[in-house]
Amino acid sequence: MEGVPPVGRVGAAAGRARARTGACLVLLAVWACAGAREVKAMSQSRVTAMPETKVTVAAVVALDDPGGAGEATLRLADGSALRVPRQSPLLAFLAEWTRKKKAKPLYVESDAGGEVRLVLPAALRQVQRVDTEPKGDRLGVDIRMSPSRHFLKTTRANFAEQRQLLEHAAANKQPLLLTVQPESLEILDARQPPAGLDLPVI
Amino acid sequence: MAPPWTLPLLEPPPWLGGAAAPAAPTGPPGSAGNPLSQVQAIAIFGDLAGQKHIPFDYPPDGCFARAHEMCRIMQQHGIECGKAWIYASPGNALTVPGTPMGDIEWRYHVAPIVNVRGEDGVTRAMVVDPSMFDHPVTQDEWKGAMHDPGAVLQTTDSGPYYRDQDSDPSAAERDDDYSKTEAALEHYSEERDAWKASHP
Repeated sequence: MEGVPPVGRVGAAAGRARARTGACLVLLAVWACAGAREVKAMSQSRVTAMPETKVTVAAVVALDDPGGAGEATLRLADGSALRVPRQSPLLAFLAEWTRKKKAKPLYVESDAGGEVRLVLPAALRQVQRVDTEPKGDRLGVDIRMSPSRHFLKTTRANFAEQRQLLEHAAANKQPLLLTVQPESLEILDARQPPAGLDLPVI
Repeated sequence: MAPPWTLPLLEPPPWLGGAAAPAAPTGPPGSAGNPLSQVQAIAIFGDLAGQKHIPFDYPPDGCFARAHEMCRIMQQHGIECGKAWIYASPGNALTVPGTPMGDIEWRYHVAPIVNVRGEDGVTRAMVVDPSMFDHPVTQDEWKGAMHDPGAVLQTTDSGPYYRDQDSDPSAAERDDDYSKTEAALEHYSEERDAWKASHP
């Protein structure tokens, strides 16, 4: 609003011209402010909705817990060291998992600060069928024996690569190491099982 | 793994709800020739539902392993059981609203069946499915709870671990040593626990 010139007591023509100029500048300023707010809001919403997430799928090597109020460190077979705060409900689950010396790979999502946010066990599964075309942003996937229909989200950065992997596994009846989100039934991760992984196909 | 059976597998007296016993039961308990009483069926259902290693509260997956394990436990105690398989009609899904994991849609579902003599004296193959009910139910009630009138219900003996609709019995996948069952039950219990820990 600071850029709007005062109309003042001037000649009528000059006054009208200045008024038109002023109105335009007012509109420009309002549009600019609104635009800036919108950009800021979009940026914040992106930060809130899609925080930087790192995904690791690996066996747990150790959970170093100093006790007291200190946070624990989850050490994975790929060399990752991730934070598990004392108050995290995942701490008890990971402590039990580590105590049982599970060889099964864990799917671990961590935030930009390296804090563990989501863990799910991966499993060897047989892909039965992959839809030829997505419906909306979902490509339907049938996992053999599962009563639920799963899907791969088309908006994933690695959608094409994951789709190809699933289709190839279905065609060749080769099991994949899969991680699924239990409520939405989204396939979060599909990959070839690491060499030497001794797990039954379920 | 043996469950703490709360009732002996004996015919209860009529004043406890047991119907008059047939003249000469033939076959093991739970078979068509020697059906369980309702009291026995309810007791067995309760014992199976209390098995902590079977994740009944995890409906998205694993019904095939839950059914196989329940049959194993029943057979271990001399009870004959079979399985009821239900397949969604083409283009539809079996729908179960309000489960611990929200509304669920299935392509198929499976649960054990066991013969039970009703108060009317009629023997019916009742479904034992603690993931959906808190008592044994008829096959019609079980099917009706999945809201797909066109769904196809088929029954088999307890042998198949997994089968496709209308598949030849020889094509069914088996797990006679229960190794796949054990691995699947463990995995779905872990998946449930990890999900709960990640979403308290």
